[in-house]
Amino acid sequence: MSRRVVITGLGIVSPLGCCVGEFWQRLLAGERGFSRIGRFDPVGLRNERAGEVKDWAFDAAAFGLQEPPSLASQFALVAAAEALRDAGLSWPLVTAGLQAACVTSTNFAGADRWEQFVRAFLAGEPRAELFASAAFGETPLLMREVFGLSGPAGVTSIACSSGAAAIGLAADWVREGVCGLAIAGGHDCLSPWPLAGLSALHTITAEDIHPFSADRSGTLFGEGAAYVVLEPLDTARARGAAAYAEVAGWAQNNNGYHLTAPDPGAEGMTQVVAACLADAGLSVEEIDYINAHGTGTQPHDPAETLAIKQVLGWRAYQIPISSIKGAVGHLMGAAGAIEIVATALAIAHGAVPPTAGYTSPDPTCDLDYVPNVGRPATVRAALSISAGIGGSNACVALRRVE
Amino acid sequence: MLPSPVAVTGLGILSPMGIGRHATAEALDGGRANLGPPTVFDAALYSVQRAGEVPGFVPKALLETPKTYLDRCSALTLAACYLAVRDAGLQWLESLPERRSLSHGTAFGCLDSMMAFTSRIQAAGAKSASPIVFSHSFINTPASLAAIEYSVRGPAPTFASGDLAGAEAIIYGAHLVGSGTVDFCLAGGAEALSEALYAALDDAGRLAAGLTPSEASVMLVLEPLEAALARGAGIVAVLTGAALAGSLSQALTAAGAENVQPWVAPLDWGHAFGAEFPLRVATAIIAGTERAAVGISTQLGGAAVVLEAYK
Repeated sequence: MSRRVVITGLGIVSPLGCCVGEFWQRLLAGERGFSRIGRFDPVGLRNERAGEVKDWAFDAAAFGLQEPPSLASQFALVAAAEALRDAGLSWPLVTAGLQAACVTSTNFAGADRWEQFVRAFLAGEPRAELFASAAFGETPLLMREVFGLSGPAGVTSIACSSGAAAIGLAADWVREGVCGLAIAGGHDCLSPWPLAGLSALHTITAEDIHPFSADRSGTLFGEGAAYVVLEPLDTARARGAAAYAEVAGWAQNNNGYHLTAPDPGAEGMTQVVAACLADAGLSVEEIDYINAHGTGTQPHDPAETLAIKQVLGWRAYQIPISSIKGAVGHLMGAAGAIEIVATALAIAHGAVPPTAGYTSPDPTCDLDYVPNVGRPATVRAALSISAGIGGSNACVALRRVE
Repeated sequence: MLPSPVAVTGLGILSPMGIGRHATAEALDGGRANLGPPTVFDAALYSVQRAGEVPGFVPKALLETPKTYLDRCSALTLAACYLAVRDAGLQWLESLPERRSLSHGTAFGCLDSMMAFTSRIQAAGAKSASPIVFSHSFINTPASLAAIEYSVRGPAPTFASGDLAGAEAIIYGAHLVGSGTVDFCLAGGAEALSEALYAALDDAGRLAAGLTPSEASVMLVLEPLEAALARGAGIVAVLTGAALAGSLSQALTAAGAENVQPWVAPLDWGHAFGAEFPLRVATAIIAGTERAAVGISTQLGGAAVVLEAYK
């Protein structure tokens, strides 16, 4: 069985708003969602600013829950619920006869609950409910219960490529008939555990994030969730659901080189972009936009630029390429997913988001990065590229549905 | 179903039944696994002192290259890869790196490193953070280290879906190979004994209720049956079906397992969480079953594969 798979619903929790409409409007306007971290004491981190979700309130009862789950799972449930509503679906999905699955992704799962568990454990009072809420399996379990999913649930975690891989894998499941519909995406929350580690690795800038700019010095992290609804094109059409874009293909791989450093020749990223195009059956001439990983670190941005040029050749110089990390930060396990949502919106609305925080050209980053202001553009097909610690890469190709 | 049959040409296994195929076969015959008080941490404080531990595990004896730091989950993963590649008699480095893949499953990953890292920053602040321990605390660290060790430049995902994790890893790997996307896949799962997990299970009353947490690591070398035959590989089993579904019964049907004898292990090895399904697959192979369906039912869905002995 092989079916065309389309995105019919989008949901977002982000530093630029907790619904797709607000996120997209502010993203196109070049707004930036960074502020001093307020949820915990950031002293000692390399940067006390991050893309925090502000004024967060979670109504557990609205999801039929007795207690709120971990913060990252809260983000995921809210984003997934928006995506289902956006797709014109109500839950429990099982009552509609839909064999619905979910594929979630995260780097740090219930990090807030893990930190509470560690404190309790060290005090000699380990609490099982904190450990369970910190586990990677919490979110898909909740999604199955809350949304009435009768299909399988998966969790992928390949560091900062996780969100893209989750959407790619879920598209495969729908394409191959493992399920009739899938909710897929990623989520993560800011907390001392990941931020202390990313500070120690010097991935975080001590200043500001400037993707693809000459004065880039590192990234800023953010939090949130992005989920999409994927379904076969024929069933979406049959129920009158509009499609943002088709998931034309995807690929994932590993550099097989180093745990934390990108391979200098960008071979892994080059191969994943080429493999994605091949899987999608797209030519480079059909690609009108690339949503780049664009972390703003010294080694990453030239490597990604090189990979794009190695695959797209002359076409790389003709198309807009942007990183939304300068606007929302690096959302870790949700990064790939929110960037795919932005890519789908670019196709659907005929506009490409800017690289917020861009300052000055770098000779090793010599493409059109859409500096600071979004612009109208006809996007027939687009790529979203992700990369992560551990050498993981993923690339997803979206195509406009005529 | 699979697009085409997939050969298992190598098997690396470490579990409470021992290290390697031979030790596991003896344990299966004798009906004995290493279940008892854990030695990797002091369990005296807890209400029950019983876990399944890999006996005599010395990581450095089972590594391709020396390592300065390894979480136990990563060490178990690398050791299973080492055993699997050797078992396959594989000229691994003769294959194209981008045509090699690795598919790994674990429910909890590197808990000891997560605990070491988090407890240190809680005690001494963010500036005390260790970049080495942090980079080894990701749930995909075991797969990433194995990808580096074995020059895997194709897909190398980690599945972290609780007890379903190892099943998703094997089924994903089987489909990669069966569809011709890659030439080889190292597929399986690992779980390490950790005091954090043990303490949580004890607090939940699950140890007292009879659950024995176990550690295990299993990796299978998968390759297309035709290619394995062409290179004269020793074929230890053939996967003819592999499916994931909302329930075990649906997965068995989708895998073509109707009328196939389900595999039931002849001994208790405890519960290995994300490595449980790979352990069931490995023991079915080692026991030499002619044809068997291996399944798992979890809170996140069901999975099944159909295994046949190659004649």
